Amino acid sequence: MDSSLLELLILVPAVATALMFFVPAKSRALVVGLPAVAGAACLALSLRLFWIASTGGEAALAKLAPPVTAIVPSFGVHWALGADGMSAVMCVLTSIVMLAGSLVSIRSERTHTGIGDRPKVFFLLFLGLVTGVFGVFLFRDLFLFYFSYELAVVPMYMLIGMWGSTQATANKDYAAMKLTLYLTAGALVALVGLLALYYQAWQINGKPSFLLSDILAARARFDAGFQIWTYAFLFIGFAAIIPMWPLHTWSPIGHAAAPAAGSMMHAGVLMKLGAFAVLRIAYPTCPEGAAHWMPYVALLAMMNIVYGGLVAMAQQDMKFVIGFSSSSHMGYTLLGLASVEVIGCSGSVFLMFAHGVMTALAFSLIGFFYDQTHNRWIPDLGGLAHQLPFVGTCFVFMAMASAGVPGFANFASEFMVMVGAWKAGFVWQAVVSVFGVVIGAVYLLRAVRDAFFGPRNPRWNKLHDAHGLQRVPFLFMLAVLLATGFYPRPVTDVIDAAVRPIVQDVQRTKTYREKYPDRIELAEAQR
Amino acid sequence: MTGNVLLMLPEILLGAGAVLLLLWDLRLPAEKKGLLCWGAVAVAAAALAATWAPDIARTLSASPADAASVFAHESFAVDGLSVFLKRLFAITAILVFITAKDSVDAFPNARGEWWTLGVIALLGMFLCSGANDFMTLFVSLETVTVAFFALAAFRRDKPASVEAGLKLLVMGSLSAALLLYGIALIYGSTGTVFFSEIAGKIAPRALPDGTLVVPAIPAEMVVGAALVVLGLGFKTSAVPLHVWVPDVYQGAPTPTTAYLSVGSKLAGFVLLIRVVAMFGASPELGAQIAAFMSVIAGVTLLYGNLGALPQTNLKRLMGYSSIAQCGYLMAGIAASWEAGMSSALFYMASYVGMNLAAFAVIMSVSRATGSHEIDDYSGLARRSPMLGMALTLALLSLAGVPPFMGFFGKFFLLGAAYGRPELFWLFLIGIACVVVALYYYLSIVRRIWSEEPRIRTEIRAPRRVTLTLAAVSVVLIGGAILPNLVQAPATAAVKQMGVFPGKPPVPPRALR
Repeated sequence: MDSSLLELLILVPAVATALMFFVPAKSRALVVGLPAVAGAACLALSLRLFWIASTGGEAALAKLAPPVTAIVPSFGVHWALGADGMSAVMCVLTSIVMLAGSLVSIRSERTHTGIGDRPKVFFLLFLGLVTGVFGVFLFRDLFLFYFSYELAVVPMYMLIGMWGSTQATANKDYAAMKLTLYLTAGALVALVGLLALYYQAWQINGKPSFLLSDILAARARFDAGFQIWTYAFLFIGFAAIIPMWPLHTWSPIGHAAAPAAGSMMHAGVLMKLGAFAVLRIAYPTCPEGAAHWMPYVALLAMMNIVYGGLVAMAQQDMKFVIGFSSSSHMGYTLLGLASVEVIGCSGSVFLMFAHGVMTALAFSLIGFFYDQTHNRWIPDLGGLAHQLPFVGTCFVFMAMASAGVPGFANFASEFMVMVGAWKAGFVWQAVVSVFGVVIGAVYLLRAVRDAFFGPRNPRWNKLHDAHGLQRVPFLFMLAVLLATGFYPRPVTDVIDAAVRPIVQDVQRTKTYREKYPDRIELAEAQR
Repeated sequence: MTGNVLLMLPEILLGAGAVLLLLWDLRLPAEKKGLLCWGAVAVAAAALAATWAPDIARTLSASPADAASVFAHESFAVDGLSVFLKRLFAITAILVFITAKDSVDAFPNARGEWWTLGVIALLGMFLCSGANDFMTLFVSLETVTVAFFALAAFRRDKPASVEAGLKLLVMGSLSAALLLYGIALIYGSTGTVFFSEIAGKIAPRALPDGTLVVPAIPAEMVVGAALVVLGLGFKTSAVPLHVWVPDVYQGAPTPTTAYLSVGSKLAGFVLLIRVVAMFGASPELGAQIAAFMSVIAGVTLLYGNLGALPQTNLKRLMGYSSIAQCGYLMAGIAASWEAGMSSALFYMASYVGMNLAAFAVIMSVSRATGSHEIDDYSGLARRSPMLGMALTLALLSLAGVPPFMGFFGKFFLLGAAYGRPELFWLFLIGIACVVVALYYYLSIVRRIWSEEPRIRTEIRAPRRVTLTLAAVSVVLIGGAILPNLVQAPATAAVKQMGVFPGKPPVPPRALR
């Protein structure tokens, strides 16, 4: 089975999507069961992938790649799959969110709110989106990568437009359209860079090919100017989905308007595609560009952290708080990328994992009470922990994870990022960013206090807490956060093995050596 | 050389079929006129099957002279390009006929002639795909256009329909005049109407001693070529002869609009590719015409996409969308290298599926609601999930979203324009228009799915239509997953023409 592991990871959600077409809409058990089963299958497959990565290392992962076959020879489009430690971790994340998202939606379907309306179409789009996400993580061909990227973005439009909610601050139609246009425009900017790589490699190799390996083979002859400008297009394009300040405005409103499983997928996985694409495509193909732009990226990352955090402090809508906090946290991912240090970049990828699980947990919890209250305006809530002790407890745990309390994966990963930034010489950026954690504590603790603590509010007496099987997805995600927080080594080792060669490639570039002669000396002295 | 008559079998079948349909129509009682639809479908299917006849003829014939791919003194080419397009035309006609049956059967008058005219238009399109000299080009083009004058004005009881026919007539005559003037100028400077001879006269030749003689291109030749491209723009709905499109699309009977939006447009494109290939024989003229077309492509893209934004009538919006799609195709053709041409062919194939699926839904919905207003598509998915889903897939494919054929085609059309550094601006316009187009297509998708219908009665489409829509949807998705099934013959057809370079013509400038 290992030989077709990567193909199965793409085919399982794809086939589930196709099967969904033929599931009778009236058979609820099948409609909600199919995505959960597909999610469990994907989780098993990705854990197997992770196991191979952690026992055999990169060499064992390289052996998994199926043979490359040309799909369209005249344009050089190839069926090429490949995984490294980074994709393995991201696949595990996607499967966790996919499984939890489907489980959460089963409940939401029972209460006839949320996606109670036309669940079949909902899961059809949900599974199509997941197929695209796995494609982004696993395809090693730029065309199929782009194909999957767009496939992951567009279903979100309908997920928000059909099952989203319109509140005073977030109109779902506006949010859905804004999200789609921002992300598509971003993808098209990245396309400029992707096509530049394609044609430049064609010129050098003498044959058209979208294969990442063919483009990397031609990289030695990309001149520095080309790399710098191509990197700028790739980075800005992918940064729209990270979301990097000032391209982030689609994100909080998109979270706020989306249904629970949609927000989980969106914040948990979709936002990670950008940083993944930067590490997977932009860094290896344009290392000179990565070295050239890193100080500017570090500045933008700092803006993300502080600005996102400050705006989150001013929010009254629970989903907007988490939405802006997501954009603030993704600033740490950017900062880690900008450091071009192994520990910083590994920290970024680990944070993508940790934040993905944490924010999926946050949105599933908010979805749980919003399904019943139809209200997430923080001043209207209050004292919810009386009626919802279990959900309230989970929410407190989530808030602690988000605020970077030790013991959660978020702490470990953000710490790695800070160390990376410091090592890279972004001292004051790191110092300012540390205060982002303080800001995070302010808005998260306030949200917890105002929504869950305080006197019992009789208005919410009819609410019922999560019981029995409903608790499973929440406990599952919480367990993942705590387990990887207390013992991050297995995950960071796998990430580290994948990130190290990419980062070292950038450190060997001329631009980097000219910019940071002292860092080179330091590294050599340590050796 | 007269060639093998089998090479023209599809056209012969269509001509005979049109006459037979007309005769059958005379003898059929009024209540049985619906049968004519199946007659027309059978004729188109026979023509489709006959497009394989040249292959059979080539395998059967022993002498190479019989296997020639040109016919009637090089007036008519039967090559990869023409066969590719003929199959598209036949499939277009079959899809239109099957889905239009109910609408045509409901016409108050002269229901039979619609099918005969439809087959005659198809014959014109088949002739267009093989036209290899300017006389054949003009005559076959007019065969299509004249048939569509009548088809557009078919509802004599509706002023909008008559107006549409008249508009088509006036604009068609203007464009025919431009085209003829261009042809006259080219004839005046080369002394021939045959494409192969014109290409021979303007192509650089090597003398026996090895020196290369580049014939000077006279100014009237350039003007003539530009006028021909402009005149064909009437069919392809390119700016500036696009002005009829929204009005005629809205006013003509919907079956006619569906047929016009695909068949007539692709007929213009195949002729455009043919003449561009001919002008490309001279690098100088080829570059000038490519530059001219790139400007047209850019303006057409902007006009179509921006014009579609404020529309409230779906048929009219499809008119603007049709102009916009023309812009993408022109961008690929203006790039004038293999990838641009072959992805234009691929995109035409996907266009057949996605546009006709959209119009099939429009016909079914308007038969139930009597309206083409986008407001009346609100909540369509509740009134008929099948029609809602089919229209959504068609619109998403038109918007160029994966996993549909439209995505693949658009990606490589714009990618081909990117391959020429001097067309980078056109590429930028193209990607900006993709975002704009996403806005207006998704706005309709939103109405279909997330708004509540004003009237909740169910809309029922005949089984014949739903099965066709299901098949088209499967092809639209399957064609994106296995694109080489269409792309390989398209690439082969372009390679066979032997004019367009297989690599980007100029080494692409690094992005600085």
